[in-house]
Amino acid sequence: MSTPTHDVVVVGAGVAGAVMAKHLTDAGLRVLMLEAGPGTPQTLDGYEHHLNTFYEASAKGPESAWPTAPQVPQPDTADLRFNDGYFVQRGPQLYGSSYSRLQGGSTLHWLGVSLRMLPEDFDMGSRFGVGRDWPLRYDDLEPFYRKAELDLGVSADVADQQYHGITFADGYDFPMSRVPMSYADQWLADAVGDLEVPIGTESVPIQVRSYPAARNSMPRPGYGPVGALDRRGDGQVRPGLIGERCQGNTSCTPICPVQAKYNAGRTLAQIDPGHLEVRAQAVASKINVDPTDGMVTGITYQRYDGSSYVEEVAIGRRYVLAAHAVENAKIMLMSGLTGPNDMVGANLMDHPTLYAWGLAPEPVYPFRGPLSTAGVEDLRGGPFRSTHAAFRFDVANDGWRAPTGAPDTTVTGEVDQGHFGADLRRRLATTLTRQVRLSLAVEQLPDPANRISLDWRFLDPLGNPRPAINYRIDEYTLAGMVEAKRVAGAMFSRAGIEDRSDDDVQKWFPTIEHQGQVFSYHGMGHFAGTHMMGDDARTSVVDHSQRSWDHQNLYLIGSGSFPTMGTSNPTLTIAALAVRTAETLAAELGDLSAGRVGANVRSTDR
Amino acid sequence: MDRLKEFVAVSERLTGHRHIELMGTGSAEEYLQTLRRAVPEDLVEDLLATAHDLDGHEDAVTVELLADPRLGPVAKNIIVLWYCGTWHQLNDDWRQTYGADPVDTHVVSANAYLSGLQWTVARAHAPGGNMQGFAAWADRPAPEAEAEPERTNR
Repeated sequence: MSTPTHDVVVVGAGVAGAVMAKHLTDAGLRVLMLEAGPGTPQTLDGYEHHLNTFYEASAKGPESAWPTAPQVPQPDTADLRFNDGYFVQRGPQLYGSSYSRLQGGSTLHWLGVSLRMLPEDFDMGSRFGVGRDWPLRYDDLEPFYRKAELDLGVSADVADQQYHGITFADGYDFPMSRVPMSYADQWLADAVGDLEVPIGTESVPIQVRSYPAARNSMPRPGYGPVGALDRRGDGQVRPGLIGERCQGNTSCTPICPVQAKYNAGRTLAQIDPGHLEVRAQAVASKINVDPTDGMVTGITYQRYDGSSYVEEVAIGRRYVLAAHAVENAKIMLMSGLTGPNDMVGANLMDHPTLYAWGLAPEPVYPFRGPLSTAGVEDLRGGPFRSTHAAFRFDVANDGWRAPTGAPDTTVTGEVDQGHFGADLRRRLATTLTRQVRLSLAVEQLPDPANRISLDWRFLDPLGNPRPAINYRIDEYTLAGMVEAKRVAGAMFSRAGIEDRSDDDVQKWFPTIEHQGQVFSYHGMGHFAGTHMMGDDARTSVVDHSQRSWDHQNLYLIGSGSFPTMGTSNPTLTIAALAVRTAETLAAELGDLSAGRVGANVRSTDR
Repeated sequence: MDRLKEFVAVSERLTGHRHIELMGTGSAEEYLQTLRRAVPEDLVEDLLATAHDLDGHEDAVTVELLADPRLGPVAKNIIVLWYCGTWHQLNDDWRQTYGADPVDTHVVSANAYLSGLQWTVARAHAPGGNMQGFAAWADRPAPEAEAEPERTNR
């Protein structure tokens, strides 16, 4: 057997892999990271090149600043128009989400919402009789949520965040105070007033609330915000002198110009290069397993350049798949590793999301500030979850951009109608300043029939199969959509907002019908559930530390491990789980080294 | 240079913005170039001349210019250029009839994107640029100035 060159081989340079690598290297371990996509620049100049790509893109979708390499195709939001993208969609519903395959992963263009899951999200099975229980409880994760909030740099006030049973350690507050709520948020909060909505058997007060965001705000004592980092050719890392505070670029997606919003590249840049080697353009294609004991002996990867590639094998003492819920499943399935009852790839989830938009009775001045600075969290939990899905709203700061393409389409609409000159200017000043929009993100339960598999009829340029998706939105989620729309309607009505939601405008969005109502939905990018964790090797792929039951030196990390996903954006929980797994791994490898040959073994055994 | 002056003068009337506001975008020359790449010179001349003749007859602009099958779509495109920084390729019918506009829909340049008038009219800024600063989004901005075209100072 070949000798390990590194302690841990990590596949994937997104947030899960980066946080994992940070904590492993902090513990003195040496990490090799394989990234399928191109490397992204760690210099400031290189990052700013992506900003210009975004400025000049005609379609400014989430991926527009971040083209990948043709060798590693990725899903794109616009694929849904013709269903001709990376995913082979087998229906019955279209899966609406996308992600990015390059160094930094989808955190390069995420919104930054960093909510903790609710305590009740961890035992949906025993509490509500739906979904499954996690092998962890909220209290098990709470210390790791704190560490993740530090790693990502989260801004929030504990005082705002104690709802639905969420607790914090005594004396804790977030690294930075909350991102100020936008003028539009404040207006909406006032206009909604003391609205209560009936749901199930309860009446629930609705509050427009600041949510935790991984965007730099005012630091609390003892915390230094991390902004843009500039890693030079000589390996020196210099703070870029920008991005230590959000500047209000209104561009969290597709690109924060100053990196005041967290991206995984920031974590990677902070890692000692003596302990971390990132190999980009290296596509993990096969996990090699010893058939006698199931142990992984190496990971084969394709290193490409131009039109050719070579195969190499990475060998470590431990292996971590951190490539994304879909890509983790894909690599496993390409290696013939299907888990118990074909669970690898199964139980794919998302937060199918609806838009509601309208015209406020007075100017609220959108198109300013982070893309959103508040949400409605009151219906993330409650007894109703035994009968229908929970949901949360984002309150947008970018008007009707997402559903309609405003402000450009607002302009072209007025011009098409013949408006020009001072009249046009006045009309636009009136309309553009009053646009209000909510995103209604609805929970989805695990369903083994919703899954990733491989379709060998469709190969990418390296000969790897494209992922096929079977996906159905069930009654539980649909009933949640009905309630979410009703609550949004009640908010609009109380606030005097004229509802302009119009499914015809979103005509390329996938639709689904339920009891005579047609919903146009889209994905939130919240992939989860393809290698879920559990406490039984027969009914789960990984254990509570994200270790593969079948392959004891292999860890599958990320939102693929989630047994249920509740309503929180998954990134913070991905990071918290990664820290927890890294600590387990570091302790284990540390003990092994110490027990075997003494404390300094790692510096001499390679 | 004269052509640019004429173009900006017409643009003032079409967009409802003053000369200084249009020149302040830094995009005037690029827009004129984009227009000349997209449509034949005689059409540009006709459009500028027609608009010039209508000076002082705002009511006629709709009928004589915007509703004109040949000039109207181009005039509307000029408005959208200024507001959005994007050239929208004229539709198939128009292109077949008048045999022009090989230019695909595109953002004219990074500067054009950033300087779109839609953002100033909204009291906002283009996403990714011209940011207003930390916490500015929490405040109510100054309202949009009244859009009376300035007739002097050309």
